[in-house]
Amino acid sequence: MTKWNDILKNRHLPAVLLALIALVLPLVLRNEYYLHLAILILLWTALGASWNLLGGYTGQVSFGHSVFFGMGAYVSLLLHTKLGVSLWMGLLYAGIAASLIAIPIGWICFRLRGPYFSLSILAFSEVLRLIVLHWKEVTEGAVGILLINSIVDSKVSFYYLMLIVTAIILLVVNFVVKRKLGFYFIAIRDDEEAAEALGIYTTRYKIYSLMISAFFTGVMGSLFANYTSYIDPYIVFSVGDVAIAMVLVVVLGGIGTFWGPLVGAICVVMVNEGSRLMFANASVLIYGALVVIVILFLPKGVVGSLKQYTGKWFHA
Amino acid sequence: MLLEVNGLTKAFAGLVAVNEVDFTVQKGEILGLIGPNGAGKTTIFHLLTGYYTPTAGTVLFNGKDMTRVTPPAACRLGLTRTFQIVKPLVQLTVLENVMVGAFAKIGNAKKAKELALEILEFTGQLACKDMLAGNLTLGMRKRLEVSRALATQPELLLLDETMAGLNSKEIADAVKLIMKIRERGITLVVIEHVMKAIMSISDRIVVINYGKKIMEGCPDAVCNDQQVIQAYLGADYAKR
Repeated sequence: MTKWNDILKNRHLPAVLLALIALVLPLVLRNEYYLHLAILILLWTALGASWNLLGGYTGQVSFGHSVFFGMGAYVSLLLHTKLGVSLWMGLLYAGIAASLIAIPIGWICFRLRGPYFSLSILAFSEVLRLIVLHWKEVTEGAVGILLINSIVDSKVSFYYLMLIVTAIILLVVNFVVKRKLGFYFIAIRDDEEAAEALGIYTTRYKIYSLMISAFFTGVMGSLFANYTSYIDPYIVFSVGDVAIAMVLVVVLGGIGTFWGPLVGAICVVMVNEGSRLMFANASVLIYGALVVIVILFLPKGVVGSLKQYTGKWFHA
Repeated sequence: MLLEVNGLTKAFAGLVAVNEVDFTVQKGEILGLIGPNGAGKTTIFHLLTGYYTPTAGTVLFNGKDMTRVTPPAACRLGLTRTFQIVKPLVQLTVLENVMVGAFAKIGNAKKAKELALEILEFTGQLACKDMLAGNLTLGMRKRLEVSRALATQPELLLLDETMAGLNSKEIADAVKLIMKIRERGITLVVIEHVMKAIMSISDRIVVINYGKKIMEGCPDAVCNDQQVIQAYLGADYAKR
């Protein structure tokens, strides 16, 4: 009896249960469409968690994460189609490329604060999209890149690949926020002047946060490219469908919370699909209305608001 | 000489907030910095720790030129300040706030936590270590500023009105704490308006008025100085 109590009280229990459910899900969901939804939820959880490290924990709200997503997608597919680099290595190179481009972007944009930072990084995403669009010799421009053989061939294997990467991202975020790096990120978010007085080189640590966030966003861009087998500049550098969607996932789920991205991803994917089935072209309207409702009634997001009532349970 | 300030000047457009101020701080002493509101005391702290760059003058800390230093670099060199308007990291607990300070010299989370707990015991805040800093009373917030700054292991600590807004018991506690900090081997420069407190703790006092140093000396000499009485203390204070 006490043993069961110990297990039930273990704070890792929710995570373990979720992992188990995620592992057996493809065995239950025989339907390809449902599996597709599950993959989308994982994609958005991972993207949300990456964004959350910078936006939620470090307090730097980026409206331009599409720059890293697109960078990752293009780097891995171009290396593969032009130079024959394996798509597995491409995942890694995508992350590294996104992380490297984050250095000059951060160095420039972190001179600005608040909404000015948010918008300046958005400008970078647009600049990169235009470069990719017009540098046809290398990038094929608006024609885009078609991938003949993807990294894995079945939907089920893709699901597991996505699950592994998402789990790694969540574990790394959890690892980072409990150490010096994470304390420094939160200190910068809560009060930048106080952080400086306590010996924190704020710009440097913001760039570290951006680099980690960009690395994972780049990897997810590469995975997304593999999943859809086709990319063009309008898709992967999309401010609305990628950058703003990442913000929404986290804001809906709960900014700066560990489970926020997952909850937000489930909400966004379900509402998106549900409203598309029911309202066709009016789905964006429904989506917008949902965002307004959440911001009005749950300003801390679903997880953030739950945390207020349930105390520590959600504090992972 | 731990700190040497020479001809320190800061002008904002036409307004000269700090005007050729000189003073020194010896290792182990407590220097009081007093003066009317707006005299430029906090601006001096901003200049010493790199929040402002001086228009003219030099600051030497341990013989090192601090004129172009940045705030985090000042802290890492051993010169840490607190803020008059407290700046708790509101979404972190008291313990976590102090750990952030400890990370200035310690990389490992476990060791930082050990130091933070030791500091909290030293400052008498151990009981509220798990409270969110955002939920603390003003008195506790002021003390948290001190705890957090101590955790950075400074050689020279600049305290900016850590007693303002406190009740008399809290002030007595704060005085005790400052004396304990000195016993720890930390040198202090203290800005304070609570006269009884500053007079009892300071070895020497520097009086600032309109950005200029008008007097420097031991507490007794400062209390009886005609210029200081006129500018700041008021005639009533001298009679007492």
